[in-house]
Amino acid sequence: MTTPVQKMLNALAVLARARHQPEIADYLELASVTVGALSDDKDQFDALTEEILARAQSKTMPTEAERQAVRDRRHELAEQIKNLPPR
Amino acid sequence: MFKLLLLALVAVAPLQGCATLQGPQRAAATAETAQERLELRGYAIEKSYNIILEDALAIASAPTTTEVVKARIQSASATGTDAIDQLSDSLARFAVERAKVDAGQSTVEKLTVVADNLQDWVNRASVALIALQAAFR
Repeated sequence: MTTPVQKMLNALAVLARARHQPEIADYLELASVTVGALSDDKDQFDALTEEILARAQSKTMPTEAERQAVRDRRHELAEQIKNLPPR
Repeated sequence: MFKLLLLALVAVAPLQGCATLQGPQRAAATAETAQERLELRGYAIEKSYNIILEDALAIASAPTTTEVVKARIQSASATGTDAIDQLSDSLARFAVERAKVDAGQSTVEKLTVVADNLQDWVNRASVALIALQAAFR
């Protein structure tokens, strides 16, 4: 999902490119990606905080299957980062 | 945000029911609660690391990201993932040992040794997580 701030940054990037300022456009696009990541973070960390608090109150530890799912996802992401093609 | 999560983890799991216990019983209950909190903290770090990894992948994949930043992310991800895997293994060993203690097949002393090891990996994994964040923020 694109946030309003991302939309504004992308619009400014288009404007900068149209005015032949590619470096500024690059920075604005990078800022847009970062802002998007940070927005996703908030939701995910909020959900994780709720999960941990609920587990602490109910004294419910993650199952082996839940642990394995976290591990699998970690390896999947790490592999993708490792195998990013050079530009 | 991560600091908030850790703060929450430090605050959770108060010593419910411990107030009426005395001496060794109270000490055992306190240790048990601390170990539960440590286990949850380890799990939270594992899941937090995945969230940061998703960010790292998005930023490393962006066409506007420089090769220097991409290389930094790749290096931090390789090192960090090894540390988090060790944390994960340590969490699994702790769960097995705790189950053994519950079943009367091991001792609290052995569980304490495994918990100390888990604490060590929680500390190292926290450093790895921060290093991955620092690679691109």
